[in-house]
Amino acid sequence: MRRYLCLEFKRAFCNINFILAIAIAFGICIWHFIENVWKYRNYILDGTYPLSAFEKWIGADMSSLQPLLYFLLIPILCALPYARSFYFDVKSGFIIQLITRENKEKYIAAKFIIAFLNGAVIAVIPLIGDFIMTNTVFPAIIPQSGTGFFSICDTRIWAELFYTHPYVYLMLYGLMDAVFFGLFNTIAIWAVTFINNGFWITLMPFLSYAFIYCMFTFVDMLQYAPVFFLQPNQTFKTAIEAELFELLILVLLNVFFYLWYAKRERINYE
Amino acid sequence: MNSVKTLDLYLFDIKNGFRENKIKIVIACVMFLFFANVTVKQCMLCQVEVGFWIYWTNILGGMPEYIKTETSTFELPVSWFLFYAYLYFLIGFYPITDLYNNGSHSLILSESRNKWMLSKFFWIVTMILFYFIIFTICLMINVFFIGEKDIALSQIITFYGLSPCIHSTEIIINYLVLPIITTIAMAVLQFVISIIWNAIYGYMLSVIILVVSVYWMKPFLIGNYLIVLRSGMFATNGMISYMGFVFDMGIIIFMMILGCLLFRKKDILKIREKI
Amino acid sequence: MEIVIQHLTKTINKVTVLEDVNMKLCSGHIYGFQGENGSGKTMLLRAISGLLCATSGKIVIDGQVLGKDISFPPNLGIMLENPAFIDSYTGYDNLKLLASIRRKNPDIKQVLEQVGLAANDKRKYRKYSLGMKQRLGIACAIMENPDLLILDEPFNALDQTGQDKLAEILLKKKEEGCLILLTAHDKDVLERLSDELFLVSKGRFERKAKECLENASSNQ
Repeated sequence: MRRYLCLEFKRAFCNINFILAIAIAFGICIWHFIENVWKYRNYILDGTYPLSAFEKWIGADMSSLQPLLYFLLIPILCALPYARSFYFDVKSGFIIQLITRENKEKYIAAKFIIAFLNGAVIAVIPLIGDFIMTNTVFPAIIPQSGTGFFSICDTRIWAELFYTHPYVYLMLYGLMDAVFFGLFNTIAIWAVTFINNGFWITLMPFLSYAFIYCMFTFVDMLQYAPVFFLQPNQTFKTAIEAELFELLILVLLNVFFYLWYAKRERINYE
Repeated sequence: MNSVKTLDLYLFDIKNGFRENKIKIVIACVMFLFFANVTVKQCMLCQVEVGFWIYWTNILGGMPEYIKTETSTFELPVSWFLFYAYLYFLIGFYPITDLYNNGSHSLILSESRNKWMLSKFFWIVTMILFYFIIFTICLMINVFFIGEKDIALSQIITFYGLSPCIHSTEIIINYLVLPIITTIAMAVLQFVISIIWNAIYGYMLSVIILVVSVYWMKPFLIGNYLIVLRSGMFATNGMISYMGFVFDMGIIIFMMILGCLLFRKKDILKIREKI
Repeated sequence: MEIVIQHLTKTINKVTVLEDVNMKLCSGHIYGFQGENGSGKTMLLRAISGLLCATSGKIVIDGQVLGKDISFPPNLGIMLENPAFIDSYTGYDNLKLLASIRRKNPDIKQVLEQVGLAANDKRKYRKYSLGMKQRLGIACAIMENPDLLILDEPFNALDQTGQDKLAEILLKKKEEGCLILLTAHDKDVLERLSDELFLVSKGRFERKAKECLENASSNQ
């Protein structure tokens, strides 16, 4: 298992697409920094409450372009380096070389784990980078409820935590983002079951994500679309139970398809 | 010397392209029927007297200019976004699949790289027109069975309180002609990037242009010409149609020439490219 | 048809894959290319077929410069690497679809039988064995009676019957005036079929002396 993990880790993290994905994500963050953070560096003390990094970073901004662009594009960026690897292994027959050296179940498990990690890292690292960048301009003044500057009102998830321990709030949200985007990235692994096209496979995480966004908009339940509830600014009121439910669905799908592949005698395109 | 006609290549692309995308087309039909159904039913619930073109505007109209304030929330007009994002997904990958995954046969048999590029361009235009036609048919089906059967263009003027001086030609240009030509321009941009660089990045660029255009209402962001509610008919400082044509045609011509020049020098190194 | 290659050099990522290649190829001949893996045989075939652009030098086909006057050699039949076709189509349907481009209306059934495939086989391409895929690739290359036939390791994965059939096809095509470029790992097959044989090493091409070829044929 360890050998599979090492091999797949290199395939996922030591490739040009990983660097490009991180670079594009950082590019969006830098663009937000230039347009919405750096411009206000001389106005920190101008308002009734000092401008804070917790209010100005990309995760807290709900009125600019870059946060929505980031959270919309991130499934494509997460899928770029590694999403198609399982498809290629199956399509080319390379999977035979891999599973005959150790164990099919371990290989499949390694695939899911690395796809998850790859998605999680690409989604969260630029956000951390953006927050650190914002902290170079604005002080990390503890958020104050009632000032009107912070988007988290008391009906939001972990609102109390945000106003008392904002770093813990951000860490929890970062973890949630990592888990969700990691799980979305694994869609490309199990999509191989019914799709025989490299482009479809790469875009499946994004298409699923966008499709969920659109369907929830149509039924007027935008707060349940991951595009919004994964943004730390919590634009719409959502319920933790709904998020846990969506998380559970993603986890169950992964478990189901892991078992599907593990039990199948042959994994190939017929 | 070149006995292969572009028409034969184009017919090949039509056959092959539709075969490759038949499932995606079926999904598009389902999506359009769903959009149309929801829109028509919502309008009926509000007991508003509308017609075909109002339903059309509801789905593909987009949104007026976004004004950023301290408390505003930037959102995308979902049906509009999904319509165009799915269209670029539908047409974005066939050229690359034909070039690499199917053995480059059509390229070699075409005996001309320019003819191959031209044939793909015509295929893209055909698919875009087909996409708009099936959307119209799906909307018509809902209108015919459950909605208001009024298809007069004048309902747009009445419903949105527009100037009565607006001619029906202007409405057709803003509702159909300009969006189709703009779609073609963006599709050509995506096509050239996918051939020269990478298909996924080409698609990402299309999505970025769509999102950025919703945020910024600028004449050079051509995604704005896809948003009907931002046309000069609806907004006093709205998008000017002829500028849209100029930008679109400029992009189409420039990208096709650039694409042909770059493609001429491109090495086709692998018959089955790992994309 | 006459192909003249003048000082052809190709560099990819600072690696010279073809170095100062000069040769003259005429119709009605079979030219064999023999060399180690990675020596540049396939690269030359790609360059002649128009899929690669030369770094320097040129390829002139019937007086027209490839890549300048023409993009691809006219009436080319080609099989490079592992053939690729549409997985969800039968062999016949694949060839029929491709034949619709040039509209020469070849007798596809006859061509399939010629290479040893059943014309009425309803199996999809994805169900084909490696040898069958190879045969279909050959069928695709020869079906429109090309003036230039480029085959990269066509004998791979073929059984003895298949190899004999292919040799017969190539000799027949040669008699019809086709210019055939061929690579193979089997030295004996190449020497038996080729009118001229080139030895390839690190991008350099060297014509093998004709006496050696004649001796090889007479020894058989």
